[in-house]
Amino acid sequence: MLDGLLASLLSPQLETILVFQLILIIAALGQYLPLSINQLDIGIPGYMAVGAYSSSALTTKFGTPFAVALVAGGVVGGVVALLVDLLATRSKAQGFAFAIISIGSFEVIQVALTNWTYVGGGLGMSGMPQATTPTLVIVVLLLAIAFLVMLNGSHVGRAMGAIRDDERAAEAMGIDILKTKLFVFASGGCLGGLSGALYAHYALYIVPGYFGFNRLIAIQLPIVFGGLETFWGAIVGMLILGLLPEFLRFLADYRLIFTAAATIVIIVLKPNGLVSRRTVARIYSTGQGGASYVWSRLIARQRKSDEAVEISRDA
Amino acid sequence: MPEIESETGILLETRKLTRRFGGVAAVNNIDLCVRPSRIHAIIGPNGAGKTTLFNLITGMLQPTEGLIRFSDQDITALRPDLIARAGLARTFQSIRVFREMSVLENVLVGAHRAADVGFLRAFARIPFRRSQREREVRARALELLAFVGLGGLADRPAKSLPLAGQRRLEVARALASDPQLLLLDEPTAGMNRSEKEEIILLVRSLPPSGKAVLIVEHDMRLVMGVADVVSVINFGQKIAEGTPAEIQNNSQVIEAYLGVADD
Repeated sequence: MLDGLLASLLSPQLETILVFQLILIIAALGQYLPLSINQLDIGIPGYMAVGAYSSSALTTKFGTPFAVALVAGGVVGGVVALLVDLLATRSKAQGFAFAIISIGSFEVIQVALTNWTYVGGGLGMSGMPQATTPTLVIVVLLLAIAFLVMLNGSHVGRAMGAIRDDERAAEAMGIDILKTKLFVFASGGCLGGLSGALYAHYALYIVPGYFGFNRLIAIQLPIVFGGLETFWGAIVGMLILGLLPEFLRFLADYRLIFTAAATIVIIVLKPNGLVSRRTVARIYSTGQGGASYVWSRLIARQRKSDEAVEISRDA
Repeated sequence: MPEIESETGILLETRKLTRRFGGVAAVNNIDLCVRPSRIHAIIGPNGAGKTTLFNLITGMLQPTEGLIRFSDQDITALRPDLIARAGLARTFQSIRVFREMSVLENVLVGAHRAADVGFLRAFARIPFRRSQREREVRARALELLAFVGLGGLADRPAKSLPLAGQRRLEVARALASDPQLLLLDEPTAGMNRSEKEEIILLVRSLPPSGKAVLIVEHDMRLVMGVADVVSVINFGQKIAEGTPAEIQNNSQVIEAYLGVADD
């Protein structure tokens, strides 16, 4: 039903672009998770790759139902992220060293896939069933958002905030740093794997080259653009930077310049990104969600003038 | 007061605790006994090894030699988070609140021991509704904030509090774990006199239910007003121990410490 609705609302081209971007948003949420606790794991293309390839291998070579393959893709992504990050954490890598290890991890995965003829090597893999529907993508995305919302409101989310702000103090509060970090890494990798599996069964053709540095930039830039204070920043950033170029087609080759300029402007004006924690907290606490927030902004002017009258009366 | 010796048990005990950094023994052969319901102060000049001693007790540093026992459990080689879970909470000399989190969230992190229901149960609940446990923990956190004088500031970002407020927040955060022993590492550092006195008042109002406080303090006069027992450390070694009155008349202490104190 949702598929039909989308098809009637959007041109096929726009629908395709939107679905690809929504799939990438799932990966962006996976990428956001480690970044939110100040761990520079930027290996998301690798986790997407293993998710895409493992699920595709299952559906094409073993005839596994897609539902099972999708879950398997998520699990494989999570396990690979866990291994990479366990290695990085155990070697006490911090900051850039951590980033280099994670970049190395997806490069290794890419090279391995390129040379592994069982999964098509550099020519890639095809023949997957067209199993990813727009509705499925939206459902998985909503589940990912629900996961993050639940996480934020729980003791685990607070432990993550504590680790982000001050690891040693967090430890002194009885928080098991390693366990919490590994949970975050595994969840992030799992979202990456799910995204990869969805991608593979939507694009129907995957090559190792897709899961490289370009994919990292396509995810990382919007996250910085949207802001790291809340995961909504990643979503908003991905939507704006992913879809903006499509509405700027009349600018032809200049549209990428426009995207870059927009990013620079945001970074200069709002170094912490477009979406601040405060805005989100206000939207949440308004209770009825975004709609009533917009409503309250609309009537804010009226209210302000009322207050001004009252204040002048008090004076 | 000799009856203390026999009446109550021992909460925290260090035996021949030593930590060397290269050739320097920052903490050298320190035997310490902290008893329940006591405020135990550790004083000593700058660089005497007080903070190192704290870091050894809380597991942030590993001792070179010696033993640490906490309520009949050997915690010498334990990880800091496990020591915290055993019932030992601390504040930091250089303030370490979780700056980006709200004041309330800081205290809730302190209550991690009580709030930790495991990873899975964090998700096994109705969205946007807090579990029973979570509501209890929150209610207690708000009580603690009121107790340290930060009531009404719960939703402010921790970094927006003034220095003295952040220190109070650290105390509330440490208390939130309901510790048996509270370690305060120079809780009045960097404060003016009236702020210091308020903190000391707070400390004095603390131990209600068998809780003990181990406090490192630079300001001798403040310590004398609150402590039941005072241990004096100099050059990594314990040079004296006793009631505040005994310490004030100890010639070795006067020589090592009071003679050079400028505050």
